[in-house]
Amino acid sequence: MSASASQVLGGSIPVLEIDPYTDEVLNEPFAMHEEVRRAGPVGFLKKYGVYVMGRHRDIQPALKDWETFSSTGGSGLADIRKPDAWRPGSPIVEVDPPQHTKVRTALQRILSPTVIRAWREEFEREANRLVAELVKRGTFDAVDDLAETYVSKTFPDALGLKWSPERRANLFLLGELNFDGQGPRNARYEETQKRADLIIDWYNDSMTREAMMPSGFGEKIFAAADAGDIEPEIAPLLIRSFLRGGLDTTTSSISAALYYLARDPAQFALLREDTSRARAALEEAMRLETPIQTVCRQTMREVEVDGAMIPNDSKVLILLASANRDPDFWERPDAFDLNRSTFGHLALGNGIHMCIGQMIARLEGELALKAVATQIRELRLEGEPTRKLNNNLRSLKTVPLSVVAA
Amino acid sequence: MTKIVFIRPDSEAVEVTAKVGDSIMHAALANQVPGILAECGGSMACATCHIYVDEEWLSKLNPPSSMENEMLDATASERRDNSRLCCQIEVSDRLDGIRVRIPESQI
Repeated sequence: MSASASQVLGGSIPVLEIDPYTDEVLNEPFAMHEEVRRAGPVGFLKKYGVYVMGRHRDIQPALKDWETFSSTGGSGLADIRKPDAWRPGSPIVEVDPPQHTKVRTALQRILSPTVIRAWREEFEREANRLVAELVKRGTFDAVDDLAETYVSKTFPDALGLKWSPERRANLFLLGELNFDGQGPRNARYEETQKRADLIIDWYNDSMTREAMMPSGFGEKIFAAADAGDIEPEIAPLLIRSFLRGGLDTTTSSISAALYYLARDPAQFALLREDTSRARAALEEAMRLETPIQTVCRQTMREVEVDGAMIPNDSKVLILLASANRDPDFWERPDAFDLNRSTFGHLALGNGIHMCIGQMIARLEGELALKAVATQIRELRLEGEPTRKLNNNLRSLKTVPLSVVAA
Repeated sequence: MTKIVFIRPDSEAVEVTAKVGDSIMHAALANQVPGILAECGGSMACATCHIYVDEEWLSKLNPPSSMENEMLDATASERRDNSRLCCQIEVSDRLDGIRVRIPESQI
């Protein structure tokens, strides 16, 4: 992975030999991020024929400028408007105003902070119950036993997706597919697609109204279609977006937070001292881990970014994770610090397409971390964590822990 | 620079200076004023930058947009006539000295 910064395209945009999707880079993307940031405000990834941005100062304004940096070309590497990669876009993530405004408003109403706050008690009970069980065991895995077990219960229950024995495994597989699909059509993606093909019937059934229990917010999405707030045909597609994007991201943030806390007893002590820091701990873990590493935009005109000209109709790979550790924006960017202001982190995006489920993720994370800080006095790593490799989702696979009860 | 006074629920006043053009939320976060969470960073998805604007300053503000109005119905502390989301209030010279109260809870 070496960068040759030859000056070709667009006058001043360096052509980079970087491949963000090798096992090596996915495992440790930080050197790649630094290379992109150093190369300039914009680079060109020769292997994939897309532009790339890695600096916080350029990325944040680009995310806010949906008129120039549009989502309609798809949030992944492929341009979904082109015949070879055509697929219908997500009715929320891959549309721009005015269509976007209508759908976003309806969803924002369905997922209003009041609605989400009403789930607090149930999420809290689940977190406390699960952590108590794990404390009794003494050793467990922070990912499989805690984060995944907890999120695969709370989130689908809130959505109202009926329980079935395969629900948990299938939802995580859909997430894997979703995020692998945002990268190139490589062997990793093909392998995931093959496994996902086996659950296609379950997948299709799960986005129907019949799959939704009356108490969940999924049913409210169908009701919004009844009321004419959104088009009827997009209701199942919105459910689909939640099925594909709602679990892995939150799980990744919670797992990462537990890993950072276990690695750094002083930070865990801060959290134990005042458990209202749980939300700050989650936010800081989101910044450092950045579960969704990148997002793509399509230029709707020729645009200058800090002196670099990107041609019209170009795909731009935006390295959110790089912005979240950009030393020009963050002091001690790699340090996990509950006392820092995480304002300006881009793990949930920014602007009109900022994560619609962010307040659900925060509630889930807050209550999981609070339960841990209340019931556990000591968190100890019992071995090196391992990672799952995915084209766009950064997440831990195992974090072996032993704990001492509070 | 414009002066903004945040009054905390325990009545302690926190005075900060803000740049014209920034939001009041931005000024609060830049100065780490406790009680303004602003978790969504100003994209009107969280209602955690709720404030009560002192009556005498209310008339100097543009009225809330329909989206802000809807989010104000979803605040953790009760909505009052002078409730606003401070991410939606732009700092200007005529707001120099504005006093805003921080509610008991944002989440």
